[in-house]
Amino acid sequence: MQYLETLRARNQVRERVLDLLRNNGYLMTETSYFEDYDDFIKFSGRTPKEKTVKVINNLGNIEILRPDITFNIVKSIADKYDGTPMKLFYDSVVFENGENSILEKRQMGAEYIGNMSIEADLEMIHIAKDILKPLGETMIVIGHTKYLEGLLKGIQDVDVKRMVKETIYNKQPQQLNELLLSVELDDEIKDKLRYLVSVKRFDSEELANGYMNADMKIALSEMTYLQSQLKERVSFDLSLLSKFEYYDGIIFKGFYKGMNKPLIRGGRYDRLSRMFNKEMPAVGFSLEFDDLRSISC
Amino acid sequence: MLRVGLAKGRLCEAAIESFKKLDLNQVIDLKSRKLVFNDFENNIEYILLKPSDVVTYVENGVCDLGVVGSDVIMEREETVYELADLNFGKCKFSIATMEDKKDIMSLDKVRVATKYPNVAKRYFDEMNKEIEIIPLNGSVELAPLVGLADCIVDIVETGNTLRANNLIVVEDMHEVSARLICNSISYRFHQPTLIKWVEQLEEA
Repeated sequence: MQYLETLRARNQVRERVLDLLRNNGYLMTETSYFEDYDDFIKFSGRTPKEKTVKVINNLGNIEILRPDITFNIVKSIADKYDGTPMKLFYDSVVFENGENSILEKRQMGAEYIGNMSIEADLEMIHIAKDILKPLGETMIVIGHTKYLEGLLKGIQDVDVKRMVKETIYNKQPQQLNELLLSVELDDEIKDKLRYLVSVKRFDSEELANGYMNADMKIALSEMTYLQSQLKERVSFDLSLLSKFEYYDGIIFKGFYKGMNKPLIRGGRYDRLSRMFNKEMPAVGFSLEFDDLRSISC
Repeated sequence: MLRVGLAKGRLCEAAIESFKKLDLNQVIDLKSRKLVFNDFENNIEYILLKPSDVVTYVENGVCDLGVVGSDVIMEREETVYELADLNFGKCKFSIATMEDKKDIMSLDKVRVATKYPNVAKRYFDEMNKEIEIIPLNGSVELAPLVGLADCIVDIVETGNTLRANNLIVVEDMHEVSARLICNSISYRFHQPTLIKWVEQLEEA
C-alpha cells in the first residue's frame, strides 16, 4: 500500500534525526502551545507580526500559537535552571498564518543550555551537519551577530539599524550607499559596511583592518576558531542575519542545494533568558522537518 | 550547472558582451528564435527572459544568476543578491512634469503616473508625501500633459523623450544600471566561481 510505504519512509527520516540527537545525549522536552503576544513581539525581530496566529483568551488578552519553539523552551525552563548543563530536543509543530489558512509546520530541534563555551556552538554545528550529511549537496553558513552589532553601535534608531543590516544581508550595495548618505557614522565604519556587502570570501585579516571594537574582536576570534575546526560543507559570512532577534553570538543556517530556503536555523542566544530574569547561556537550532522529509522521500 | 537568465531587449547584447570577460564559450545567437542556449563545456545554460521575469526566476532559484536592470530589481522587491554593477544600461529614476507644474511638493496629494508603482510609493513614503499611484504600461509622458497625473516617475536615459513632450526633471531619485544578480542560496553553493566572476567583471 502506497500510503504505508510513504509513512514508513517518513518514520525512518524522523527516527534517524531522533537517534542522532539521543546519541549525542539530548533528552526530549515538551512545550506549550501558547505565547504571550507582547513578550514574543519584543524578540521577534525580522518575523512579520502578521504571520503570527493570534488567539484571544477568556480575559480578552491576546496570545499567539507558538511560531517558534526555542522561545517557548526558554520560558518554561528559566525558573528550573540551576547552572547544570542541559541538552534538550523537541519534535513539535509551529504555527504561521498562510495566505488562506493557518500553516502547521513540523519542527525538530536541539538546545544546549548552560554551556557558554564555543565548544557548545561547535557541537551544535556538528549535529546540524550530521543531519544534513545524507542528503548530498548541503552547506552550513556560519555568521556572528556581534560583528555587525559592534560595527553599528553608533546607530541609535532601531529601524535604521535594521535596514542597514538587511541591505548588507541581502547584498544590495546601492541601497546601502543610499541609506548611508543619511546616517551619521565614521567613514571608517561606512567603509567596513561597504566591504561586508561586497562579494568576498571570509578573510579574518581583512575584517580585522580599520575600525574594531571588543564585540567585533569576539566575533572574529570565534569565527576563526570555528573555521579551524570545520572543513567541509561550511562557509563563513559575517553579513548573515537571523529571523529572530534573540540570537547573540554565533548564528548558522543549513542549506540543501535546490531548496530555496534554509532547512536548519540556529545560533547562540545567551540574552533571551534575561526576559525571565535568569542568566542562562544557550545555543540551539531548529530543523524544518517537512522540508527534510520532502527531500529525503 | 549554473543557469543564467538574461533580460531580452535593450540590455541583452551588452550583457553578452560583458560576459566575454569570463572566458566562457560564446553560445548565444540573438538572431535565432531560440530561448535556451547551452555552454556544455562550462556547464552553463543561458535562458532569455522578459526583464521583469528575470528577478522572479532568480528569486525562485530556477535561475542561479541573472542580468537585469536595477530598475526592475527595485520594482520587484524580491530578495536577490546583487553581485556586481555591470556599468551599462545606465540611466536614472526621476520625477518629471511640466515646467509650470514643477512645484509638486506643494500639492496636498500628488497623482503619480508610472510603470514603477513600488519604487514611486517607497520614495514618496520616505518623504512623508501622500500620493495616488496611476499605474500605466507605457507612454507615461502623456499623463501630465493630458491632466491624468501631476507628475511621472520613470527611468530617464538621455532626457530626449521628456524634452520632446515638454517635460522637465523635477528630481533624480536613484541611479540605475544593469546588475548581475544571484539566488541567495545558489550563492552559497557556487561562491568560489562567483567571486572569481565578479573580480573578472569588475576588472576591465
